[in-house]
Amino acid sequence: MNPREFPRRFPFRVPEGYHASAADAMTDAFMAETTVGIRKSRSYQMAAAAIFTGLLIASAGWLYLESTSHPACVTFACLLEETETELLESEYEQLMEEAAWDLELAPWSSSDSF
Amino acid sequence: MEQPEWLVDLSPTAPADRRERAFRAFLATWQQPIYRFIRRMVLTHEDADDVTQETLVQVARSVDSFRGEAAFSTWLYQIANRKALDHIAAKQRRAARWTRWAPQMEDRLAALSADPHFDGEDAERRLHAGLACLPPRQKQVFILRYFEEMPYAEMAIITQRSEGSLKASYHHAAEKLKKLVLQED
Repeated sequence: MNPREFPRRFPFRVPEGYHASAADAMTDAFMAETTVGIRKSRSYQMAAAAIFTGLLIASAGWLYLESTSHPACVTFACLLEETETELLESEYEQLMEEAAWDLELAPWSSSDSF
Repeated sequence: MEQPEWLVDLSPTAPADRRERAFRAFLATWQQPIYRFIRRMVLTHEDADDVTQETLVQVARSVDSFRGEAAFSTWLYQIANRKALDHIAAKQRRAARWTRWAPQMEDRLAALSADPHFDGEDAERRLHAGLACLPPRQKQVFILRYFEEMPYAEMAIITQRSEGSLKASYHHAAEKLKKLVLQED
């Protein structure tokens, strides 16, 4: 194909009503005199959507995992309560372990020191 | 140099109703040609939409800085061209952050075949896929010269390059395109 034979036609379509709605949006932005009116860049919108979706999936995943370990819980509040209780219990156990360890190391816990 | 009537009314000092009318008249004349130019540069509708809106609103807002040394259309194309090149560069930088892979002719062809807004024939598909494979500055020169049918003197103002280098770029672009369009899948 010779460069002279390259087709010059514009072979792209636009969504129906696009030019009119874009003209309205631009007019609003122009008259608003601020950058607030200009449509935010699509990349920012996509990033925000991706973050939101990620958070949604993470929460759903967490809820699923928690609900499988607490089959009795059917509400979110119940799950939270159970998790809190578990945390308190494990903290208590840890404290007790630490106390026992301290006790073992304490000079009066050794039989030699008496 | 003769300038369009509505140009004066785009100024921030003009009354609001006249400004709005002037802006609408500006869009009636330039929205579609600038969209078409940018669409050829950036290829997808979404990108062309963003860059076109950004260009036209910015041009209208900064009309007071237009000194009238060249035609208004030259100034407009200068800004549209710069915005499109910036957009392409930013997109390439973002893509390079994730991968070193650069799209080839077959990827561009596949993308155009899947694009619901493309209704060209095979030759047009190959031409625009080939255009997308050219370095941005060669692509810009080819679009301005071939599709916009712009004289080299005006292109020199828009691209801030000499006429000689533009002619060389156009020749290289046409040769590369010929090879890309004719190559087998």
